[in-house]
This record gives sequence, C-alpha cells and structure tokens, in this order.
Amino acid sequence: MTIDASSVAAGGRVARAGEGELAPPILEVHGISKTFTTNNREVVALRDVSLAVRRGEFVSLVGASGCGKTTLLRSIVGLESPDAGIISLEGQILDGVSKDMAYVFQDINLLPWRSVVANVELGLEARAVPKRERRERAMHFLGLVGLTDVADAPPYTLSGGMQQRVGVARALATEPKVLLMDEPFGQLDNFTREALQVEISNLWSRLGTTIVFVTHDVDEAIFLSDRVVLFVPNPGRISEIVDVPLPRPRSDYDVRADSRAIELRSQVMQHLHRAGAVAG
Amino acid sequence: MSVIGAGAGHGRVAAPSELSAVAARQAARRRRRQLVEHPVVGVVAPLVAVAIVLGAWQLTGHFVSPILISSPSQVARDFVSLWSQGAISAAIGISLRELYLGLAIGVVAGLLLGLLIGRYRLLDNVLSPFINAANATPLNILIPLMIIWVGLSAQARVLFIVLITMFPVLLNTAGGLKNVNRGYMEVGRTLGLSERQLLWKVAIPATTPYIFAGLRVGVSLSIIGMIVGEIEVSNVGLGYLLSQYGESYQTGRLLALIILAAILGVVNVSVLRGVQLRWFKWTRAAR
Repeated sequence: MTIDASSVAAGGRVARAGEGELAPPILEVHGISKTFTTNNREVVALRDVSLAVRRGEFVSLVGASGCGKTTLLRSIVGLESPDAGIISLEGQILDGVSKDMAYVFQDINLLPWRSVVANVELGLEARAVPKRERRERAMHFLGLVGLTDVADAPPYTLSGGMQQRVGVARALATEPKVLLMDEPFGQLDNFTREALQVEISNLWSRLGTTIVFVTHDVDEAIFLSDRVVLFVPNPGRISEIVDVPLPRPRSDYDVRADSRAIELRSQVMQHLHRAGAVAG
Repeated sequence: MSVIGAGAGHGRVAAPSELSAVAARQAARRRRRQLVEHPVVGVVAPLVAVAIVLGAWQLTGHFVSPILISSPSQVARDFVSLWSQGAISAAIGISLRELYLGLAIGVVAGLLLGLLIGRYRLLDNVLSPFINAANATPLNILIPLMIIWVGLSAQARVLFIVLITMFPVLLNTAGGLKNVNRGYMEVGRTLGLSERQLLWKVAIPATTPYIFAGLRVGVSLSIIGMIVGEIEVSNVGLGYLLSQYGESYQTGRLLALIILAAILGVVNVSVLRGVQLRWFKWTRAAR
C-alpha cells in the first residue's frame, strides 16, 4: 500500500496503484532544499525533497503547518526560488514562473476592480488571447464552476465559497498542464468545503488536469487523491507516500464511512504521530 | 438576557406576563431604532441642526456689535448686494480659474511623480530627502521666493496651488504603489503576467484607494492655497476681497465670503466623492 519516497523520486516511472499500467511523470521535483532566515533564526523549510507526479494524477501534500508543503508548492510554481534542487515539467527544467501551471491560493485575492468574469480573463490577457475569445473562454470556465449568473458582479459581493470557485475558474481558464492548489478550502465552512471537494473531484475527472493539492485535512486528502504525500517538519521533508486505492467517483458513496478509508486514515494519522509531525 | 435562555437555564418556564413585558420592551427598542434610522431623519436632522445654529447666530447678532459678528440675515443681504454689484462674480471667476488650473497641474504632477517614485526604488531614495523636507515645511514661506521668480502674478498663485496640492497626492500615490497587496501581485505572477502587465493591470489599479485619499487632501488644501496666494500675492480674487473687507471691518461681507469659500470646498470634495462612488465604487466597498 505504501511506496517508499526515495523510490518514487529515483524511478521516473511508477506503477499506478491497482492498475499495473505505467503513467509517465509530468512533474518532477529533485532534491529541493529551502532555508528561510527570520530574525537571525534559520528555519529549514525543505530538505532534499523529491517527488514525481504522474500525468493526470491527483496528489495531496499533507502535514502540520510549518512542514514545508506550501513552500514546495510555491517553489514548483516559481514564487519561491529553492536554495538547491531542480523542478521539471515534461522533462523541461523550470526557471521562474511557468505558464503551463496555474495556482489556486488560500487567500483568493480576486481583484476587486474587475468583475468576476474579468478576473477569470486575467490569465488569458497574459497569453494575448483576443478579446472575444477571452470572454467566451472565461464564461466557459465560469460555467464549469456554475457561476455564469454572477459574471458581471463585483467579486466582493460573492460568498467565500463562490469566490473560491472563481479562483478555480481563473486558474483553469489558462488550461494548465498542472494545477497547484494551496489549501484552497481552508477558510471555508464545512458545508461549503465538502461541496467544493466534490466539485473539484468532478472537474478533475472531467478535465484530466494533473492536480497537486496542499491541505492539512487528512479526510480531504483521502477523499480527493490518488496518492497522499506525508510531510514532517524540522526540517520539512517527505516521510511517506500513501496510495489511496478507493474506487471513483467517490462522491457516489460516503467515503468517510468506508472501512478502507477509515483504515487509511488511521494509518496516516499513526504515521504522522510516530514521525512527530502532529503535536501530541 | 433572553427569555428562552433564562427559562431553560434555570429549569423553569417564563410566566406569560414576563414574556409580554419583554416583547413590549423589544418592540419599543425596534420602534426607536426605526425612527432614528429612518431616511427622512437623515435629511431632516442636519437641516434642523443648521437652522438652530443660524437662529442662535441671528439672536447673538442682536446683542453683539456688528463689527464682531454680523447676523445671518445681514450676511445674506451683503452677499446679494456684493453679487449684484458684480464684485463677487469677477473675483470668483479669477479665483476659480486659477484654483482649477493649479489643482489640475498639481494632481497630474503628484500622480506622475508618485507613480515613478513608488515604482523605482532608486528614484525614491534620491528624491525622498527633498520631498520629505518640502512636505514638512509650511509652503507659504516659499511665496516670497516665488514672487522673486515670477513676480506678483497669476503664475505665482497657480504655482503655489500646484505645490500645496501636489505633495499629498504624490505621497499617497507613492506609498500606495509601494504597498500593493502581495497576494494580488502573486496572483498576477502565477497567471503569467509580464512585469509591464503587472504594473498596469494589478499594481496601479490596486493603488487607486490611496490615490483617492491623496486627492481628498489635495482638493481640500487647494482652496487654502488659492486664498493664501491671493492674500499674499495679489490684488485679485476672493482672497484679496477677504483681506479688503477684513481690514475695513466689513464683517458681514467678510462672513459672506467665508461661507462662499466653505461652500466651494464642500462642492469640490463632494464632486470627488461622487466620481469615486460612480466609477470607483470598489475602493470603498472592497476590503
């Protein structure tokens, strides 16, 4: 059930759980290290982290705060520059921000001077998509998250859940090869969060986008992911990678009550406790 | 304390009489709130306040020498006579032309310099000692110098309005551009915007709330600049009339001009607020 982290990093090709077929990695992270210095105190956010994500895969990075999972995601998209290591997308080594990836932030930060649809268009403006086509594509992706009705509304009139849907549409509209999501539902209430988890899961199976998802919610990670990557702090590193062989679509049954999911969950929690990742 | 809470918490059921008493109190509170918050009250209350002050002022006028304070009715008569003589309209024509010319130049200069300083760190470092010194100095000490440079002229008055208007716009614009929400910038970066697009599509729009804060101060100060300039550098405009009537103890006319200047200030600030509410509503509504 578990795959050793080093073998994933070293082997370019890893068997997809339960299928036996080989899917090539689309995103590879090799030996990433990053140290932050605050008030003359050094914090090793990441030490020698390696990870390979297969095309079309849904991978979650899980761990307590301060274990480096967000730093890794920010490094992948190019918002942080690691002290060491390389990141490659489809074999191309990345330097700076890649237009082939998109990022969904926990602080959604929709631009308040733009309407909802104009926010979704922003990434298309960066790609010089003609105005008409831009609007059409933006409306298409707003439609995918069920928000065409509020296309012309100012974003601050939307609820938190709706704003994050726009955040997802904004990222998807650039048609990224890899979608990076940084605790996107962390600030939402339970009901909204569960609704959005189902939506993201459906969008992922429909669009086939590769998703790397950061969360500290183990249930959320199990519900969404093919694999769950467990991070531990001091220094931030990968301690274990867990396969999630639950059948899909998982919204068809109550995953939280599924015995295999419960077993997985307790396994993950035990591991995190053993590794000292969860304050006891 | 709530009725349900009290009943449940103490293991007893509230008596009907208690319930109705609480309901009555709540209804009374609701009625009071509705009355105070009624839209008509929002219009009537300030009018009543102004009427009371005017009435008190009128009464005072009966007991105090007209040289110290004139009565509102006298001020109104003075205003009408000044207007019909053409004294005010001639003065106000000159004053307004210089005011809006100076304001326009000051705002544009403040915006441009503010954006450049906010954008380029080196320029900020080079110019900040001069800007801070100029901003901390009462600018009217520059008036004699300006008179030496451009004479007792309209240029000197406009220049003074430009200077006094420019600094708040400049400082707010530069400060706003230096403090753009990092989250907005990261959104733009991850979406693939170029540095140029980041500036025009993210950073500058994000600065508008700060720019409006600067404009509000600049617009208010511009009238001070206009009056001070006209008192010190000239024989024209409202400021000149003000000093004339002051020196000749024509208190009624003086007060008429003071009220006129106040109205002018209120109108300018209101127009600015109108522009902000009409086209930049988000600067007030958003976080």
